[in-house]
Amino acid sequence: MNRPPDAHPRGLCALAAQQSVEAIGGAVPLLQGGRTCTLRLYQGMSQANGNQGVGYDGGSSIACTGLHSLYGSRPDCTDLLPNALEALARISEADLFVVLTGCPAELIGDDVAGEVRRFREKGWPVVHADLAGFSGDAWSGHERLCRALVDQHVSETFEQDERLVNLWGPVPYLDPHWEGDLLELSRLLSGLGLVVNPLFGCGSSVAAWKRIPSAALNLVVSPWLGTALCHHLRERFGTPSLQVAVPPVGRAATESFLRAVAAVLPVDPLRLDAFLASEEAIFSRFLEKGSDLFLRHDERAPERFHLVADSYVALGLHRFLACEMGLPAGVVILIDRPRHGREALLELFRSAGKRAGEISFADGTDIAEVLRERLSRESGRAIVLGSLWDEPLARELGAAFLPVSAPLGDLLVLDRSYLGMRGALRLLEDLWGAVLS
Amino acid sequence: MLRAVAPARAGLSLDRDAELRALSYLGCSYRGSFSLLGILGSIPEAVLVSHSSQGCDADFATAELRFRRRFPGSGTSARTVGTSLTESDVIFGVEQRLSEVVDEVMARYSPRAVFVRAKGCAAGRSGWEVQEEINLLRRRYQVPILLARCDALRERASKHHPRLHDDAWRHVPGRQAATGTFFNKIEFGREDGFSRLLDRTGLPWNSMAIGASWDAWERSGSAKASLVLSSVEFGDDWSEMLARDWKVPATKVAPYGFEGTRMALKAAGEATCEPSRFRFLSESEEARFRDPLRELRSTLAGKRILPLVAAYWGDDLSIVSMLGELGAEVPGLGVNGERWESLLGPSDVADSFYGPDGLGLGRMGGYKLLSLLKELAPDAVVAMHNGVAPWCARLGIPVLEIPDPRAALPFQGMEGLVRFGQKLSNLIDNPLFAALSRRPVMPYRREWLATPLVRELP
Repeated sequence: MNRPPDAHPRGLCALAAQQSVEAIGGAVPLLQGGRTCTLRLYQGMSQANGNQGVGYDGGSSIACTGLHSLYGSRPDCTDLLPNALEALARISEADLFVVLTGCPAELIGDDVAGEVRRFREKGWPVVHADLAGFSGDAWSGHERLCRALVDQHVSETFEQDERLVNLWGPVPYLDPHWEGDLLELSRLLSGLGLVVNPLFGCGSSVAAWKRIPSAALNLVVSPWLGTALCHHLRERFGTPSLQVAVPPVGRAATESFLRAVAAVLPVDPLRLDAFLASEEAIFSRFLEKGSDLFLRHDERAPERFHLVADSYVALGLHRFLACEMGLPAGVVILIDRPRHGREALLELFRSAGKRAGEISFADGTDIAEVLRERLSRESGRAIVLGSLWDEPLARELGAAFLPVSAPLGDLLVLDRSYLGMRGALRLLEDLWGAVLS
Repeated sequence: MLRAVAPARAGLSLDRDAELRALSYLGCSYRGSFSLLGILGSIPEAVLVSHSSQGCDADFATAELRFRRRFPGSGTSARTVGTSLTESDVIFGVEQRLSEVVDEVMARYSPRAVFVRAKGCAAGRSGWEVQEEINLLRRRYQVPILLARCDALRERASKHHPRLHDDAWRHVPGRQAATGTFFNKIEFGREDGFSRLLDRTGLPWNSMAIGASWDAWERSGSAKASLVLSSVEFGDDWSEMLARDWKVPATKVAPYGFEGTRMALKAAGEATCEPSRFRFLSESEEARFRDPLRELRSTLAGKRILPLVAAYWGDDLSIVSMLGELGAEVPGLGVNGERWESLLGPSDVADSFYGPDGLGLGRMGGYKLLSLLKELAPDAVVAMHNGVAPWCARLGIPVLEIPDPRAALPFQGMEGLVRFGQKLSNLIDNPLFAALSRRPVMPYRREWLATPLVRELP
């Protein structure tokens, strides 16, 4: 069998991008598909993933055209859409409607794109994204949604703002720390005098999407997700892009991140150094505070860490723990499947040198097998950083466990982030809390 | 008396088939399959295979969390596996993928039974071939491989929950040799209070609950009688099948509030031919909780508490009855024999909020929910569907969410009523809701929220 069965869904489906729409202030989704899909994805991506809440217009009840029947009396389902859209516009405080098509519409070949285009040509703020569940995972759905928003909503007229940065990073809701990550990255960039265009999360708006062409830089903080979009944005608007493949966790990665940005934008070098110094002073103070624990021999202390996460989450944590904290990695299992550049991605992990561990892509039941095999044969205590699905195995084999990837489980995540130097301190608190408890 | 304002007067012309704010708990029949996941996926010796694309299995995590809460520290997990259908499966055939996954499941877990939760939309296009594939697999492995259909494409949960279409289900009970001296206790809810009360009778129960063994299912056909405690439709199906095919009489009870609990215990006494044991229980419980109830009634007297509970299998009426016993006023219920007219929406009982004569939004009426809430301005809301509570909170209305309409309400028995009342008492004037509504994110137009949906008749 080519693909193992999936006991533990992690990448979900393309329609998961409904949660990306929820992350945009003023955007109202309209699902052309089965309404239960909405509930399940909300449960899996928000409730069971850190209880992240309902977003601007969501939760278990987003607007839906009620397309259920392929075989009923209605020969053409598309006529549902205009009616629903018109009525929705009369009750909604929306700056943009985003029509999402799930499996049923795609199976019957419903021309939703054409219908939405007709509305757009009449001046309606409406876009369409094809997100049939069987056609891809959550990462591909998010990519498709962003591309649809850019192509169908963002116009060519703009004024350049040399301090404005479009930030492309974590996938809203799928990454349980996405909003905290965006806030921390924005805080870091504002320390350089830059302004982040709030596309998702706290403070986001549909207007921010209109400002995309005005930005001086498209900044991708991810090993792969968002690079294709930024290539497209460069072609369309001429906006340069910068990819920081390793999300900045800790001192070295944060400094590297800020210097990389400062190298391509007009940032005052004195301001950069002063900001870095202030961040570092805090980081050093608290790192030193923890050293009493880090350096003491304690049989509960981990001798290595194992990591199961998508490459965005994994890369930042791996780099910090292995390269700054000197904790060797055991196995690193990547659950996302970038279409290109997998070898380059693996090299990024391997560059951690002797503490890099064994890195692989896996999914389904293979993940548990890899983890079990490794945990069973090694001596000394380990900590597993993973998802709800990895916890029982970690406990069974005597390892500590810290939830870092989706689904996170029964926790509350508000603005938590492990990015930056401050996030790294929070990571250490959580990691050692898991070890000692 | 209040009468509904017609949709046209409310400024909307709406195709009957459009659902402007789909209340997903009323969703397609795949929604109903969540109870299958929770029940069948928790049988330790069996595996549930969900035959769909992976997004449809996003509820695995919720089921897993519920399983862990039920069995803390057990170190085990729900036994669920997905076929994770892709585009190529849809094009070239989903049956092959199902066969591969069942083969893998048999090799890895050697289960005593396999349940196939089918079909989401992706699998749905292949019609009944899934049944054919399952018949083949059943012959190959000689263990029960059982299909529970829930076609998102064809049916609505509110009318067609996943049924046990597969005839093989009827052969499961009675496979275990049993003495026939016990009673089935069919309870798939999250609340154990009333169940524990039944245990105090000392009668031998065959508990069919979340996490029950496959043996319990197999011997259920030899029971003297079945007592059904929860409103989960799968429990209804099972007890009906036992009655029809295995001659095990079934009694369904709704042990909510003092009156409901009294009646439930009386019915249980009759079903087990042990009326005196249950009468004693009823009296002792009543004596225990009479004073706390009196105190709560004085606190909640006259408070207007609106239940947002879909009219599934009587859960709505149970909540309404409990609120009545607590002395609260239920907006939308008749006073002195009068009743409000159903609000808008079709008079489809299963799709409306509490009952044929009570307040209703109708299946397609979810978008009216907030306007209605604003207009009624209740002192508190009891919402039985997850994700609804934040909407109430944005309006500053105190709300208690009781998630998941497909499990028993978490307040069974007289003790449950008192606990329910205490929670409501704490809700009224709770400062949290003022804080939550200070800067509300409200994706509705003010005009719409101010649109009257009901008017009082002279």
